Amino acid sequence: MSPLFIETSEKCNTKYIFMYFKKEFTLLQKTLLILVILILSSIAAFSQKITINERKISFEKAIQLISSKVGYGYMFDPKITLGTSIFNLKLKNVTVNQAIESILQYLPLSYRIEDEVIFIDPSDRVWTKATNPSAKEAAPVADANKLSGAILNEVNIVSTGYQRIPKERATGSFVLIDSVLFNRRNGRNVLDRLDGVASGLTFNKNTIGNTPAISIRDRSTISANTNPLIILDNFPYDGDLTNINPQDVKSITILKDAASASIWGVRAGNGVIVITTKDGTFNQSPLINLNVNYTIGAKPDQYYKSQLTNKEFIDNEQLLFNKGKFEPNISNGYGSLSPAVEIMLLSRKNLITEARKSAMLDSLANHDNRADLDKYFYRKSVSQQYQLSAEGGGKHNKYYLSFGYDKDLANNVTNSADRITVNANNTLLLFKSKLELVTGIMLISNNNKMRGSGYQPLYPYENVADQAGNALALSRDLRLAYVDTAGAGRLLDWHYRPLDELREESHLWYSKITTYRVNMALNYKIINNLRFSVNYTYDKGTNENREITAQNSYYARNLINSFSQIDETSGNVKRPFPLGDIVNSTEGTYHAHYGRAQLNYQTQIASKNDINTIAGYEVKDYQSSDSYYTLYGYNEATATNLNATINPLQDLPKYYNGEITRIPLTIGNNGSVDRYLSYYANGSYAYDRRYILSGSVRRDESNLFGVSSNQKGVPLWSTGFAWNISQEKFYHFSALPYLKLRVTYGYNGNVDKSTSAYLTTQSVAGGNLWGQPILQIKNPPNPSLRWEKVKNINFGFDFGSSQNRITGSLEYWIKNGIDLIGFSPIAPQTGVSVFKGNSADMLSKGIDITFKVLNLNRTAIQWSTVYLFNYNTDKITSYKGKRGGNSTVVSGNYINPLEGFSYYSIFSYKWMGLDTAGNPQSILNGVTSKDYTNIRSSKNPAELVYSGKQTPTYFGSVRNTLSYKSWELSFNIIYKFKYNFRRTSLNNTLLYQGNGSVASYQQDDYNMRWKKRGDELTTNVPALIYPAKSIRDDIYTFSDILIEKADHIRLQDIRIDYQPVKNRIKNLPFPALDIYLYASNLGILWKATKKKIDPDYPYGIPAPGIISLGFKATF
Amino acid sequence: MKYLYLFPIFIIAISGCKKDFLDAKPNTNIVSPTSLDEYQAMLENVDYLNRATPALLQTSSDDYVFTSYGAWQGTVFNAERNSYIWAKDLYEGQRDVKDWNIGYSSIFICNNVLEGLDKLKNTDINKRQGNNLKGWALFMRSYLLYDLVRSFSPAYDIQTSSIELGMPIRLKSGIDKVEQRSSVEQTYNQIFSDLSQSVSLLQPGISSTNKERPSKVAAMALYARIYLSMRNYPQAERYADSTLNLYHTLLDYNTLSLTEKAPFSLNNLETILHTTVITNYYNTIQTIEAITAVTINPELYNLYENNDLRKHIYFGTNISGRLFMKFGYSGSYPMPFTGLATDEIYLIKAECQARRNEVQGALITINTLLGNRYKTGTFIPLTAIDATDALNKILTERRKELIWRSLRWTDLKRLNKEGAAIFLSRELNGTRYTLFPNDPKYVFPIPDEERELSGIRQNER
Repeated sequence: MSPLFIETSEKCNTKYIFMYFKKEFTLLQKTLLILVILILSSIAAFSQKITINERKISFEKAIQLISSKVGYGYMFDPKITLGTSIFNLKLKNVTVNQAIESILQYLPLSYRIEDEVIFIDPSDRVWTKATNPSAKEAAPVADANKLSGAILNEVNIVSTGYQRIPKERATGSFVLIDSVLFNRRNGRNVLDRLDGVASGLTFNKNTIGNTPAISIRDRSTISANTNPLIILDNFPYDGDLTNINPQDVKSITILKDAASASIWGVRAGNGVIVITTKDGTFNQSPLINLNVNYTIGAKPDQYYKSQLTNKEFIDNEQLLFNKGKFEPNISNGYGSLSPAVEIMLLSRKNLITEARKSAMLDSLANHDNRADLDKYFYRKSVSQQYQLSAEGGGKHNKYYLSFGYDKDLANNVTNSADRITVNANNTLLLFKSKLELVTGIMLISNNNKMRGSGYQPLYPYENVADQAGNALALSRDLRLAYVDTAGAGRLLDWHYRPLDELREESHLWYSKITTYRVNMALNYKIINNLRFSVNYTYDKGTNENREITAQNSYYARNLINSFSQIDETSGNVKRPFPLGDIVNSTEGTYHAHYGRAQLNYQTQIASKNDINTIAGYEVKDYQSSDSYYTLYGYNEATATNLNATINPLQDLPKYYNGEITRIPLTIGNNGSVDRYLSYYANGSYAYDRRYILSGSVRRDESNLFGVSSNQKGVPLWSTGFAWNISQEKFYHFSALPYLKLRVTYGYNGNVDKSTSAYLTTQSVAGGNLWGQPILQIKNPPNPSLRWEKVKNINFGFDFGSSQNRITGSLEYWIKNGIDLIGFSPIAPQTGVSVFKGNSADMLSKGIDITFKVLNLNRTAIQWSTVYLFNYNTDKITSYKGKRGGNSTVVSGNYINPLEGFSYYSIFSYKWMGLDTAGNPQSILNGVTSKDYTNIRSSKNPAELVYSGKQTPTYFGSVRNTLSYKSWELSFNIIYKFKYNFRRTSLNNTLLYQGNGSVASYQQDDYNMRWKKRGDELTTNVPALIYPAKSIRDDIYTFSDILIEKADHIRLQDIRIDYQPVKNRIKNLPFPALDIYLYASNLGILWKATKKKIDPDYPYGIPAPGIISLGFKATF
Repeated sequence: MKYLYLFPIFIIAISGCKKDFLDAKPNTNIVSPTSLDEYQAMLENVDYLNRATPALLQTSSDDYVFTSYGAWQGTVFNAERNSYIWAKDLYEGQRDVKDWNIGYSSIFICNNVLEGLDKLKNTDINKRQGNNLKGWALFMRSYLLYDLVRSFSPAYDIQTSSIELGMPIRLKSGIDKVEQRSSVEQTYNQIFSDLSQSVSLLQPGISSTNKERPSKVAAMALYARIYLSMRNYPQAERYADSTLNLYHTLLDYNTLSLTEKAPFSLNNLETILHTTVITNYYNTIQTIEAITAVTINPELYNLYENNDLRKHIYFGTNISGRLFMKFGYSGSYPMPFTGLATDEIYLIKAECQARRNEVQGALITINTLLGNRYKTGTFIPLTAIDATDALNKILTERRKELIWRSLRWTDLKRLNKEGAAIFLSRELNGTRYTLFPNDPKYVFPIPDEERELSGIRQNER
């Protein structure tokens, strides 16, 4: 970069930060250093300070005063300030921006400073802070954090990633989350922080099928991509979102309808989330923020899930033992047997007495494996976050610089992670502010360490440690008695001791992600109304994964031994699988160029006609490549390996059973290219700020595979209309001084790059048995493949009551997915059992309501409540694909959903009770039946019961914020209603599978099972039979008797802030300080089901509660 | 930061070559096949094409017995258990029945290759490879369809073949159309039509290193196998002769290890074409020592004389003293070999000779084979008092030689058709199950998924 930018450098009082970075990041190349110099050099940039102390002045007078102090001109329509009150103005040593902001923060006005002229514009924000200006003193801007945190203040400029629009001027449906609300929640993940605070955003906890973690306004696709598009500043972000430091985020805009999102065209079908990062403020003296927090999380509750008692489990093992279930392993001599079965075997061989046997079994049953898991394998999680940032600006520049460090120790004892983020943004105004140059760089280094192979108990009484805490050996792949003596000492120790694995950390996964993103934007004012901008972002990331399995790990020892051969005469051990560590390595890199050239035209004709248009051309070129390899016999000290000694085509018999296998030499690479060319235009016309008409068009072309060039693109468009009713002369409804109506209509798209119009095949690593390369069919030809389209309609009302005591919006939306790509089972004779193609249409509808109520607003005490309410429903309106039998409907309706029902529908077999022998019964052809085969294969879905949806129909939150002087308390309660889940119950097949697993003993209702004739009158749990019949189990497992209501209300989180203000407490070294305590995952306040199940976690263990303590200080 | 300078160049570059820009492959691993090598790679997908023989042929046969009731109850797949007792409902709700699906998935691959090859212009240089690939695909389609028809249709009967239900015949890759069942006669006609077309296209000799690839020899051998099952013995003999004229190498079992668990190599000399059964149902038919649920039918085992090397090379004794099948002609691949090999062709020829009263010729043929099976110096050539005696001895030898090759079931269907009156019976937990000759249960039912989605007719069992 040219030295031109450095000349503004003055006395750099923050040099120490620079030095610090230099020391820490010598690897961050010259590029960063230059940028840092750039930014730091401007921190001390000159800006004139203003001091005013005036009482009872008008708005106009105030602006006049400020302008005169700095020698600026000012300009505004006096009409817009009508009705503003007289107030007191007290400013001390503030910048011009701070001064103006301090008076504007109570008014429906915004400002801009161009060429030393202050322009005051009307209503660029909806004013939610309804204070009475005359009653309050304007506070210096450093207090803005405090104030905005206290009440519902928002930056009401929404960002689409292409332009920033005042929400007033928008026709579309946007949700804005400002940094205060965003940072209310703790944690290192950006998206998690939106849970419960963003209207229309669903966090899907108990997911089925192709359901993303987050969805915006229900769903609009079946099997194509379901994730919302994530925009980071100007361009899509293809990296991992967990990399981004949430504390660098200034605001988040969620684009929900066609008018807001269609500017993103073919990728906007699932809605768009725009993340805007911090960028500093013009004319602001440097602010240094330090943010530190410390979080502790409870251990996961090992006792959450129901399970058989150890005694019950052993009784079952005895039954299976008597039936001969374990004979194969007993007779082959090496197969794994549980400790209880070994005892039964001793008894059968008359080596122990009956009394001794029951004593031994009782002693086994005395140990609870869950205690081991809790004691040795889990811990309280601890995470620490530190962030230091500097921001500010002069007349011609602004900057933001931050450094963040996170460290997490997970619940899982071995697992930990740390992250370092550096973020620097600088904006320069050049050539009399005609040219704006924005540069930015974001660096992330993320390290993860994980246990390579977790410990999964096989039996509920499994004991990993003796009294003294020494690791005990367990039977795993092979029988304990076999490994005790196998090889007569010539093989490696073959025992599996999970506690040693844990303590020695002999099997670990390391992942290291390093990414950087460089932004550059030029914004040139060609003439007053016409600006030309160029944006460019370069993204690069590397991802190294390394799985190191040390020779002393069970995994490596088992492999080495399994391939070993002992020469019977010489006693020599041949080891085709070499001694040493095993290293699996994957290295991925990606880089992406995003470029955009855009014209912005903005004009006002005859003072009442506002025209605002953009048009541009955009390019994306994303390329990634991965390579992977395995090293055998790796020696860390010398970094050598023994791969050269391995012949991957050599057949090798297993030591214990002669089964023949090969040692694969895994090596390969893979690359992908994702390219888009897009043209777009977007415009709005406003008349007298009363009527606003907007429209957009966009065409996307992509490197879709196997599609001829003219089919590679799709045009999408939208249009919208807004009417500021309250601006009409006839409008005299004083209770609602602000009322706006919005209607939009248009199309977004969705793309599924996994399908193709042509036959596509995929090469299979390693080739066939003869070493020949092979290509496997991946996608059958589909000449009629088309892009998915989503039609969007949105009706909205925005309103504000007198003094903005109640503000909010109400929206009704309809989404119509057309030509959705779905699966349909087809007759296996075609050679394909499932076909993926355009096969469905879908209709979703919903209501989003946001209400913000200022319940109490006194100087000392304030209380506000934000109510979010969402209703959504979806329906498959047509599905061309064929359906399978009812068994596929009950187990996976989402694969080829039934017409007329939601994608998320649950269907069940009608439960007809147990027969007199404890067998489950359902209905076939209208009569009670036990013909399980035909019940399952019946193609009459009318014989099934619709058991509701698996996602909530109504959901939302109530967030209360109370502030009293320096204290603030807020808590968020979220609710989800009208949906169901299927609970698990006793499963005969799993219980009797015999080889041990968590699923075999973590079962509910064991005691409720049918045991004797007559029980069918009091229970629905079928009798256990041997051998188990899975189709008989299925009738019960998928019956309506196991459907539970998932409705619940949850206390999401609580936050307490203490914010001493300098004005009030003397000698405080900070202009602003915020000390906070935050707790989340606090539990359920109410739930419909009587079962001890958290409806968000019907099959797993709920996320443990966490509590954080932190502070944020501004210097 | 140097990348920033690239931006204008980048924009210009992209605008300049827009077409190429969007023609980039989204993923390097994805190939839309257009070259001969790519079509060959599709045919090399042995996990489909060469592993498609329905396992039910083996699990239903009398080559083996379960060691206990508990072991039978403990099997993984319903079909594995039910086929042992020839139950009416084999699948009992089991989905994704590979016995049917893999065959048709493989035919789908052949059809795609054939359509792709048709679009290619063969130059002189690649003509040989192109022809061979076309022959390969046609041969495999024929082979796969025959494996299906011998499982899911009744034995060929010249009297009734035009009215009995054969297989859906799929000759196009388009998946939008469902075929109903053809007649048995139409199915065999299709098998022969593909087979005869393939003969002139296929590579002439057997590749000694790649026995997964078919050859002219394999085509002759397949003819012989099919004609034998159709009881067209003159034709079967003609093609057996023709096969042996091209390739007649036999393995002297004296050269093999008696103790090794995998005595045969993957490309062993007798193999003409390598195929195996589908890859599930490993509890019962896998050829590894670990299998303890089943053992060799003792009746059959007792037929082997002690000097018969097959008794030691075919079978092993595991730790619990049970007999198990060692790896067979599939080399070290643990599923039963079902491909074509010279020993089977010798047996076909001998049988056909005996059937036309050519007793001496038949004995010479069978003794040529058996001479390679006994310990050196111990083999006493077979003799026969008449053609019937010769035929019976040859059929016994056939059973002993071709154990675990999934051919027994087809033989039972064929032989019972001509009055052999072979009754099969099993005993489990005190219950006796018997399968009568020509019982409709000799024909496997069409899997539920196929019937539900295509509506083709079920076999009455």
